[in-house]
Amino acid sequence: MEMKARARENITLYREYSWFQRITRKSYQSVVNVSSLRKILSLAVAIIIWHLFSEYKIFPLARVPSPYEVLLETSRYVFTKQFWLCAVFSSGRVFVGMFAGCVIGIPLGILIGWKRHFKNVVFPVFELMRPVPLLAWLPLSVLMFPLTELSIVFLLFLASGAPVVINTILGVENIPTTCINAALSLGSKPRDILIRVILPGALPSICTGVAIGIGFEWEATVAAEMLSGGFGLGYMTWEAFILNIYPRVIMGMFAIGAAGYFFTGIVRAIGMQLTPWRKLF
Amino acid sequence: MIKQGHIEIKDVSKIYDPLGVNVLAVEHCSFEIKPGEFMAIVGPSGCGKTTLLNMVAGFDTVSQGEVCVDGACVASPKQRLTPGPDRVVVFQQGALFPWKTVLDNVTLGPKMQRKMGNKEVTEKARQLLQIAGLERFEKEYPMNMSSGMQRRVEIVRALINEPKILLLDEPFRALDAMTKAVMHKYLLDLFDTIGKTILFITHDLDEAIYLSDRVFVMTTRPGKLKKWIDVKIQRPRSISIKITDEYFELRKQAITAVHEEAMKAFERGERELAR
Repeated sequence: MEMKARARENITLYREYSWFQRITRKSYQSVVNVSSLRKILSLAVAIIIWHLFSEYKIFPLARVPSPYEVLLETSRYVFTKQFWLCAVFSSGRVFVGMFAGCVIGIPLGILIGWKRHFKNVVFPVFELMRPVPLLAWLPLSVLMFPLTELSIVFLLFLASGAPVVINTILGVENIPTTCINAALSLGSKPRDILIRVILPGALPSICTGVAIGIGFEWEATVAAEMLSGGFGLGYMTWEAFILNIYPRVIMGMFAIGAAGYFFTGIVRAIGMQLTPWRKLF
Repeated sequence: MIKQGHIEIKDVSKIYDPLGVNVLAVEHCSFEIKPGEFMAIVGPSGCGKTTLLNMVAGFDTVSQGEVCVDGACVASPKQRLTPGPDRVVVFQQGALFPWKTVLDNVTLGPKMQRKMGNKEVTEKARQLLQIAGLERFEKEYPMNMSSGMQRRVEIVRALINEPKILLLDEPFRALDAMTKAVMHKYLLDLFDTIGKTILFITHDLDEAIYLSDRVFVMTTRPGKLKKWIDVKIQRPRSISIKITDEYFELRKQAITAVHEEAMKAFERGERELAR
């Protein structure tokens, strides 16, 4: 009985926290626990295996720099202005690409999912263009845009747009017909249906699409930033390869991975805030 | 005396045409529901009960005939679909908006029709939720509630629009027996107090006889009239009527009628598979 009361108290306490407190508290709890110890352990094991393979010249990693070399290169390079400019440039491009992907992708997805005729007209073109690799788009984006930055952002937009559109379509199509019928029965006009049913109904799926899309964008940075003459994490990685600075290549890989992880995490957190009904409490 | 909510269904048929194969779902249905009457439609699954209700609600077109509410034609082959808050539907499940809290779900109808001020709507919603015993849950999301509570929220959401007619499409299908009994009691009490016309679709004979004034037994597809069963049991009703002789007699009639149709549907299903 007492335990029940205490549990209820805890729940109400939790609800009284501000969103910032919730996030900090949650992230503290999610960082410091047994399962995160296991994660650290698995990471450590992976690094040890990597070290052994490159140290004793075992097949796939025989010529790959060891973790120590990468760490050395990182400690040298991570504090330079050059590196942080690269990170900022890439982040900016990813952000702009994502923004364009949302502004164009979400309405497109909603129209395709909602209107069957629109789907019949547009979807084949979309499906035809979707599997084309980003590198194949590269020459075309150079031809299409006068500025290099625009070409890069366009490539990133292509990378993020596809999952956003696909997930939006999925979200709209998964709204139960009864939901739409219920709204009609309650006296809503088509505009109300769009704003009050289709959009919120598809929102969880849209958030997933954006999270996946931002990951895809980071995956695409190396290909897209080949065009860049100066900065960008993808550019930095590719340039290091050309200059034969292999530890820096691996450092660039880690940097892109970490940035993607971070960005996806932020998008997911925003998504959870936007769709509070998904929190099963 | 209740004057509003008179439904006339005049010679209504419905033909579905997927892939050019005509399927006759409802065939020449004609009946009327008097204002303030509780009518139930029962029949084997796939017989066109829900199709009929969808046509009355205005979700689906009518192939032939017409549906009139209080003398005004609301559905005919020439007319555009006219779903609206005068005939609100309560669905089986999944029709509450999961992204809205209970209170927002309930107040959505009047807000979209722009009939009342926000404050007024909220007040009325709270009142109705209290009658349904849900006043403590107005800030919850539907997902966090039991299915019995969800059904009550949906009924409240329908009632707040002051519809002439309530259309219930197997609302208690997904509920367990205990919850169902509670919901039956709630609906019976509600019907006695509000006195609206109710059209209730179900495949549960007990439910149909227990709740309604008249049961329309439908044949298997294409759905048409099989049998009328008049339930002349006094209102207010309680669970004890389920053990009276009168109830058993009605139940026997209904079971015989529905069983025949269910068997036909079953045999036809086998034939269709064999083909």
